[in-house]
Amino acid sequence: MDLKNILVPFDSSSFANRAFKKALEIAEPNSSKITIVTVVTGIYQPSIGFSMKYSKELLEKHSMMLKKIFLKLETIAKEKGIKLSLKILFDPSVSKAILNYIDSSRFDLIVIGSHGRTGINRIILGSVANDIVQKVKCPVMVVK
Amino acid sequence: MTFSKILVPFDASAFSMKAFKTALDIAKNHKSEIYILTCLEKENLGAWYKDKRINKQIITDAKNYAKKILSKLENTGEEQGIPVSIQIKEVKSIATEIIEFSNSKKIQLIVIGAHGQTGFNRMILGSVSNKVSQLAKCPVLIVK
Repeated sequence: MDLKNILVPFDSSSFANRAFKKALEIAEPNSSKITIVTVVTGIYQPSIGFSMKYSKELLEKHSMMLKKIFLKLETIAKEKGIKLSLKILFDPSVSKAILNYIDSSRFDLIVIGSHGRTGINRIILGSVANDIVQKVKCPVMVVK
Repeated sequence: MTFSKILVPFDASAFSMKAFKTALDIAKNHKSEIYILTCLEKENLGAWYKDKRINKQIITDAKNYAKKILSKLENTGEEQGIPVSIQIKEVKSIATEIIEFSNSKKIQLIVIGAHGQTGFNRMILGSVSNKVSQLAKCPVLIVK
């Protein structure tokens, strides 16, 4: 089994950072590509839930932030000679967006943190991680 | 932190064979040891109400059978220069035994098949792999 294409769903939480480090460890000997995917869910509005109608300013702020974080990751990856690419998705549902993206392009391995930004109960899995582990068709590595 | 100790819970199903192969691939790159753990469930054999000796007979038969298969795996590991140690245990709960074993041996990666001998619904996870992925303290790679 070749692990040439690795996907890391990233939300800049500590778990996501650990997942990224593990992905690097696997990528280094296999000389594989790593894709980092983040999902922008939009602003929560009580009347309609998460809305996808962005003000332009906010969207710019978001993507600036993401690019800054991505640059940091890229410098780490460059030291080890690993190619890194960023994909930003816009969807109110994080797990659905990631699952659709995985289906649309081929990945050999998905490395995901066991929790994201919300939950830190160390015993069970977070909702997004759980959803992806159950539904994805390629190997998944859960990092704790 | 590298993957120097890898645990593969093994039940001779197709998924666990796949898991063993991916574990070998990772072990080659990281020069790691592989632990193979087979758990035989003590209860739920179905013959306890007739004669307890039948139970013992079944367990010893199962142990011999497991030893045969595991020694094959040991050989394939040796051929590729990877130390493989095998472990057969009689337990009440498979998932808790896997987790306890991984904690006691300080395992750094568990490679497990998405399903075992019983379930074959490709969409969701099997019960054992689900429990292991939720409760284990180290990264868990789920092979599908």
